[in-house]
Amino acid sequence: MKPESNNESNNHESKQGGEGIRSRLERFFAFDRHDMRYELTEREAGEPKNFGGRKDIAPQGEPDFRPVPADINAAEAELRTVFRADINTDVIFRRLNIAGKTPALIVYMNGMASDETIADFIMRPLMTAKQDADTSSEDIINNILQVSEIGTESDLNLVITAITDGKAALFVQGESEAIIPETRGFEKRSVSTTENEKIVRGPKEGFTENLRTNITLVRRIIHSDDLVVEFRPAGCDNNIRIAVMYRDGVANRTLIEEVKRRLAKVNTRTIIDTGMLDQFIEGDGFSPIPQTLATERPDRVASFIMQGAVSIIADGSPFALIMPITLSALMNSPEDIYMRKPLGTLLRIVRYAGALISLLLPGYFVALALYHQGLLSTEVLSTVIQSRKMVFEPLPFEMLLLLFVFQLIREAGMRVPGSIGQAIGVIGGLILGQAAVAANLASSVMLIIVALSGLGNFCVPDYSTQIAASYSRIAFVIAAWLGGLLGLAAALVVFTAYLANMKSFGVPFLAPFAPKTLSKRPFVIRGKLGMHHRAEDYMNTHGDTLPKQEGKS
Amino acid sequence: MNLREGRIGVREGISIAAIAMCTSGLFTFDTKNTCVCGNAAYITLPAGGIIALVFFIIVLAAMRRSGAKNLSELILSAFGGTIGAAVTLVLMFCLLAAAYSPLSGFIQAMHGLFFNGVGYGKLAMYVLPTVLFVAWLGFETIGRTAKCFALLLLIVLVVSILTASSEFETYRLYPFPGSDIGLLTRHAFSQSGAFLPALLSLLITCTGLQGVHHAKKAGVIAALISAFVCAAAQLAVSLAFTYTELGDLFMPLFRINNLKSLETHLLRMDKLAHIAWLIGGMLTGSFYIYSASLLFSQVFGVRDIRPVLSSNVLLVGLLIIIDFEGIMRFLPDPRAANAEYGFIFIAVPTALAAFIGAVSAKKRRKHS
Repeated sequence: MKPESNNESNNHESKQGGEGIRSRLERFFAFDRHDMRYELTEREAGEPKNFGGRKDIAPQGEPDFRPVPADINAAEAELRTVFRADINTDVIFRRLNIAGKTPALIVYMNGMASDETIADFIMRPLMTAKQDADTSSEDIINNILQVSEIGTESDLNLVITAITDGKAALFVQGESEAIIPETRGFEKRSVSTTENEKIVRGPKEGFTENLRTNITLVRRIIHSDDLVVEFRPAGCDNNIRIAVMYRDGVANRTLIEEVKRRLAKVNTRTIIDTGMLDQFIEGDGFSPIPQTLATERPDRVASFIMQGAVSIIADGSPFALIMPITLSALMNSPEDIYMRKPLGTLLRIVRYAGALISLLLPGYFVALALYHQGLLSTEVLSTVIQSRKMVFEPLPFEMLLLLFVFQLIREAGMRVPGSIGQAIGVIGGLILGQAAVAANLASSVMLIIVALSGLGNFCVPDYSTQIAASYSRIAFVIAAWLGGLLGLAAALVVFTAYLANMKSFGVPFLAPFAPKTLSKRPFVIRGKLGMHHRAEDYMNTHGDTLPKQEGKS
Repeated sequence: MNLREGRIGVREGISIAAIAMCTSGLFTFDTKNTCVCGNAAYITLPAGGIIALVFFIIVLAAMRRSGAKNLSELILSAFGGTIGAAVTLVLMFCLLAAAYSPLSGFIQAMHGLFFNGVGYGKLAMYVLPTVLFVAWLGFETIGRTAKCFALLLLIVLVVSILTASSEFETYRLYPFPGSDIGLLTRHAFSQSGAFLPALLSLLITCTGLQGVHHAKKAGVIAALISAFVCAAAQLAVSLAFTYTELGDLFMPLFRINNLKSLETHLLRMDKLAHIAWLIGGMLTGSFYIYSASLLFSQVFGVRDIRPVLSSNVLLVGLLIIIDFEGIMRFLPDPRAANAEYGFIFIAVPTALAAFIGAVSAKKRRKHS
């Protein structure tokens, strides 16, 4: 938002004919324009007093209201046109007479809706109802239909959405609303173990592609009356439904509103997975580091929701999004909390060390070997020289090549079926490495550095963060190549400053470390479980503490 | 307005102020002057820290009294527009000089320790864009980044001292410089120049620190920590080198690691410590340049800080290149001059502003 005085000066300039360049430059550099970012933790203690500005984005357009025709012939004609029924044969239009007297029409998608439910609990009761039965919508719902979840809809657009969603629509002659019973019964994958977030100890169940199942998986963990599931369209032409889950009265209201506001601005052709939705709602689209956490573990979603976070689950995606997140959320594994404190702490330390090795070791080695040989002891230096004696390419190029080959093996291993993927990893790692050394394409020391860096990278639990780290280390190698330790130090400062500047839905990315929040919970070291009964301070939850369990001393 | 102040907590404020004070205190003082009759640095540095702290508290009290939310408001309420602008320019150039001192020192050390064949300009091309980037992201980012590196820098310093501790000899403390109190006092005032820019920057960035109270807390704690750290580090240096040796040493803190042969170690502490403290230097530079730009923007009504930031970084870069290329050789060494007399240019206008601001506030209250 520009201050008024500035607008005035612009207008004045435009009158003078010199408007173009200055306003263009101002727009390009965003001069004098505040960085309008949503803030959740504007202040360290208590509720945030102000929330900065918000980007001015037009809300998602609401479709116009289309009344449901009271005449079922008109309704059928309209729906046949909408669904292109002449060529689209999987939309079923079934006429019947309720109680042998009132004409009605049932419309549903073949395969999406359950035939058994429609035949046994909708059509049979309707057709076998007593002659004197009242046939208004309300009476049909209350006295005839035998479906537990049922509603009415007077907007034809929403009726169409319900039909495409797998529900049936019942139009009764003379009624200007359609009855929408729950009839969804499509094929779906059953709940199985998680594919990408495996743990040794803890729940093994993972999300499926079915929204209802996923919500149930979370509800099975959170038996709490304040857990709210808000359904809404994803804002795409393929009409995917999404569910926004949070604890009402616990999650910060402004956070919930902000999530909904960002969802409301989504306006695209297709959304298939939450990964696509994520790109529309995150703050910085160019950031390599994710600003939401994508997980396929219901226990993880439940844990974050209990802490006051908001989660989004989309129909057709086995990944739920969690927001806001911090670096510690991306670096922690649910297993940390399921294991005893010392073991959980050790695991975390190893993970953080692995991440640091992954990021900095290749660059550090290049800097030392290229510019600062004096920092290496004679033994190490002679080993490096010996191993590189016959290698023809320059050292930094060799490092970049090996990092590229490592990414290649990793990518290939992930795209092929399980056992073959593992085999590719072994073949790539052992045979290709051996062959590369034998062919003087790479030195053994360099292979060890890249392998260590790769192992460290795999310690990062979140897949998106892993990728971000693996590409960031290339930047560090280039910085070290150009400027040795000076370049590496400069890159490290830039990288850290970038992380310190990042925010996920208003929460600083490095919280609770920088800024240090009121939470007593440590950053790397896993705190006592007792500490977890208080929500993270940076979430600014309404009910800061969870109710104490009865009998607990 | 786009002044990129954000909001940071007391701990981040302490971190950035302590890093800035330690960097200035340990790496920018003139060893030739300080060690002219015995190594006085381990006494005069903490004394300078205490002097700066007292000054800081007095200015804060004046700010509270006058109701000024930050230093720019105090300056404007005390001097008005025209003189206020002149005072702001003086303070801004002092802060830029304070940024220039450690940055040029580190670049010179980089040239000596790591890259003998590389010109200063090329080395500056790594340091200055980084400084600009961090400052560009704003005060919030500077504070948080400093918080990330504060512990690392402290560990590096402690390890450096511990590694060299076996080489310490108490006889090197001779002669005790306390015999000339007048000289010590003069040096203590000069050394306060290492602490004043950081404290001045805290006064400027009061809004980002969420008020005068938090700024005071951050400044007091940071000054005490820095005074202790600087005293400990300088004592270690004094135990490692005699004052005659120190007079010729540039950045002597790094040299204590060379006393012990570390050939068998994988890591050479002196160079790693240098790189770690170079990070501290870059953060210090960002902090001072940001504060200088913020003061300028607030007083002169500049609505976007980024052009000011860019110009100031360019100015510091030019100063580094001019100094190292020897273009202005006839002028005194800017780093030595800043170390010796920098505190006067900061203390006098700020003290005047505090005095006049407090008195005029009292008068205003009487009239109302």
